[in-house]
Amino acid sequence: MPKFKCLVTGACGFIGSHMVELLAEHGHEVIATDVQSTINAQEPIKKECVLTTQKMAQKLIPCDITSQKEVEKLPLDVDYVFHVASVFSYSAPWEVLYKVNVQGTVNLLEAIRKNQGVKRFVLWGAGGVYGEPKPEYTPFTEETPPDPPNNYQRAKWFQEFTTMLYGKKHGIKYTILRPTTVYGIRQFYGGVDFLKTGYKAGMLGLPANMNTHVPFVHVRDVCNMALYLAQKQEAENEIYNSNDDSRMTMIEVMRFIAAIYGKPFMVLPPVPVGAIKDILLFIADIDAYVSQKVLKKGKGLLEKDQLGMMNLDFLYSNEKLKATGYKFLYPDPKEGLIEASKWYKEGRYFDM
Amino acid sequence: MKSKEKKLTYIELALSSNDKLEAIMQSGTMPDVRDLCGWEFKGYNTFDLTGVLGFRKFKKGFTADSEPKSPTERIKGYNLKVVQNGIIDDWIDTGAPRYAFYEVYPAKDDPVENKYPNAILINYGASDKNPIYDPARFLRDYLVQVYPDNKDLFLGKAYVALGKARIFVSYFILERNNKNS
Repeated sequence: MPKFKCLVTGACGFIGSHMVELLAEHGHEVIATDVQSTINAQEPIKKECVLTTQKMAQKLIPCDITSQKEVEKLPLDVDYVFHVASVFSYSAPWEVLYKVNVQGTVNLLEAIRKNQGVKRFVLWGAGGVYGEPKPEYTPFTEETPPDPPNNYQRAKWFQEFTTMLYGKKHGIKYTILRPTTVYGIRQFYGGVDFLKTGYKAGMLGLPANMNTHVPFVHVRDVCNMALYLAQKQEAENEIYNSNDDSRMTMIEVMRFIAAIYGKPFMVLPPVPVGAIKDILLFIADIDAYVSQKVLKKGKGLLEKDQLGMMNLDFLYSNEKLKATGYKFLYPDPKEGLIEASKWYKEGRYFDM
Repeated sequence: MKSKEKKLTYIELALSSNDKLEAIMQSGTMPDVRDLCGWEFKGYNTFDLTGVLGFRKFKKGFTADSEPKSPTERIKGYNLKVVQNGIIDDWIDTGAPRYAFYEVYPAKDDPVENKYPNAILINYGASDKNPIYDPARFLRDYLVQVYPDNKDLFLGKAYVALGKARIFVSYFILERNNKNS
């Protein structure tokens, strides 16, 4: 197998650290980059990500991708760029999301355009760009028109759009992944909330009518498919939904997590989900106002944009990905969730 | 079971739907009591309420006064309380004494408890070791071997016998764990 020189942005985050690890395990040369504040992270899980990247990458270069000057200093004499860097937050202000996710991508693409040696630019988009499920677009395919429902997804869509524009205008070859709920070890935001809830709660329960599907993809699979597709001619200038074959429902997921941690689980009588969601969204508004204006803490406990996705039935097609011949490392999330739950438990990360 | 179907693991069985487990109950094979005798098995009740009530996880042991000579010989057994931790954790004995004793024999040999003729019957009412007032006496379990080539994995179905009525309580999964303590 040929060995490549690769650049990974956002290399000290959850997905970035896995990308670096996977590339290094395949014997490729990895130049890793991330913003200095992330490299300096002291929170235990974040620190694990940084340590992994430091151990596996040939070089770790601090770089703030929002600065064109800093980006231009990055070594871009590489075969592949895996652009993972992104603000992943449902409560970050639009200005921040735009600056990092969109402007940062523009800066990187500009630098690549000037170098012209990069064989493929692989971008981490987001499965959420399709917005709320619609009967005429079920399941979501790559042909479904994006309809990003919140600022985070909007920024991710702009990021994709920018990449496609650079592809068309400047001939930069790209592949875009749209991962759904990513999970795995070293995660500190997003899918890990399922495990954390299971670990912390005394008992788990869900109303019978809150049984929508939860799309999953293991972090190693997202990284593996990024490397796989980067080398595929047919994946040039293409977009791929990145989710596994499972169709677990919310009740199946929570029952499984309850079993992992030995917590009782009950299916509760149906509740008026719509009304509860409205109430929670209203509380989230108050929570955000108090946190930002009164307590000056930044984000509140509830994230309105995340709550907005509550009880929506997300189904994604991965037929396009599978047509390339890609074979999942974790076709069923149970194995990966067990592995992750053991990692969090042994490291006592949820006790900190 | 069709041979081409993916074989389910202990955890997958424990989280399977009742429909799937019922199909296995009907297609499973009769366990050879000689494979059970002398061993304790880690048990997991699939009914969610057992988690709330604190007996989701348990152990079942099988014994005999002398080593059984035939696959259908009558043997006996007991239950053990274990720590109610996660399904991926070890089955840890609480140290409590054995309880809920039973006799084991082919269900087809029983004039009443023969819902699954392919199963062995775990009859708690037949054991004189259970005190007369012990509610365990009302329990009747059927047990089948899930795959013919796996002598370590079993599926059970528990009923409560109330007069002539048999009330389904829960499926349970058993897997070989350790020699009798």
